[in-house]
Amino acid sequence: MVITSPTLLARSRGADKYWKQRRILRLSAHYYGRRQNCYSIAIRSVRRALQYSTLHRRLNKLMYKTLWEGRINASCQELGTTYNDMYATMDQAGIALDRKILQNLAIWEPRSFRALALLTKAKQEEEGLNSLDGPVPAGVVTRGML
Amino acid sequence: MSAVGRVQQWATFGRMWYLFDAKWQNPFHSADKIKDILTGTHKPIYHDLNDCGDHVVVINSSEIALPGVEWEKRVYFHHTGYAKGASWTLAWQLHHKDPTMILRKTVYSKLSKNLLRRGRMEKLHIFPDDKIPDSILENVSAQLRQMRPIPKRLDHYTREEVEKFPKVFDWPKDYIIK
Repeated sequence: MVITSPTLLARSRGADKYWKQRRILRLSAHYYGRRQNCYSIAIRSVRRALQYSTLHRRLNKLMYKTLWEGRINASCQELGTTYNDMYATMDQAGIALDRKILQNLAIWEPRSFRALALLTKAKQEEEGLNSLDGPVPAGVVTRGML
Repeated sequence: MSAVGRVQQWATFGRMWYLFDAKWQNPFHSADKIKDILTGTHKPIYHDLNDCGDHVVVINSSEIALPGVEWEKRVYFHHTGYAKGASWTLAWQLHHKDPTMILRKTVYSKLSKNLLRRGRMEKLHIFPDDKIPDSILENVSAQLRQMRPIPKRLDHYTREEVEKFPKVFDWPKDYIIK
């Protein structure tokens, strides 16, 4: 009597081919045409889709960043300042509000946002970087000195 | 104010109509501003899928001021699609044909190139002079600030003002001013 069980067991090791294919075809279930059901075609699309999703996990964050910056800038310009000025002022004043919170304030709490914009304007005026009224920077020789 | 009404902002979604006077304005510079209004990027609620652009009514587009040598050197290209169908029109020639065209083309080229572009252009109303139909004028609710002040020409000053202006020196009697 030949005992075949161990041999057969050894041959059937690892993931079953059928279930491996089902795993991929689950991901392609919503595709169009033969990409949906034919494994060899589906695997191509699924692999590419997974690559895209990996890449876009980063791009998604970048997209939100630009959207929020644009929204904050729009609100700032309504109030006579800019996003860049606000960014610098928040950093200097130690106000730890991120872009997501700021754009939420701009939409849902315009008065709170106005307070921050007014702070920005006051700080910028205090520094006098964008005006001729501020202190004269060091090392500048003017007519009065000569 | 109730706790719910504290953040109620119905007017946020209202469609505004802005009036812009293009007299003595640089169209390429103004188009940047108009583009923002048409797309809605001037609002904190902006989103790509959110139709939040406003209308812009431009008046006096026949009196735009192109910078430098743009009137003579700027060329607008058109091709009919047939052989030898190419044509090049100078800015001043185009302005003679249609005084709204330069501004319209500039805004069109500054808008993002997608399916929303035609719809956004529909929100732009350009008029060569200050005559606007009442159906449009009744919607106008705000004004856009001009990008640059309108300069006053020498012949617009009165003779008295010109003579009163302090002079540093007098021309010699025999000097011929070109």
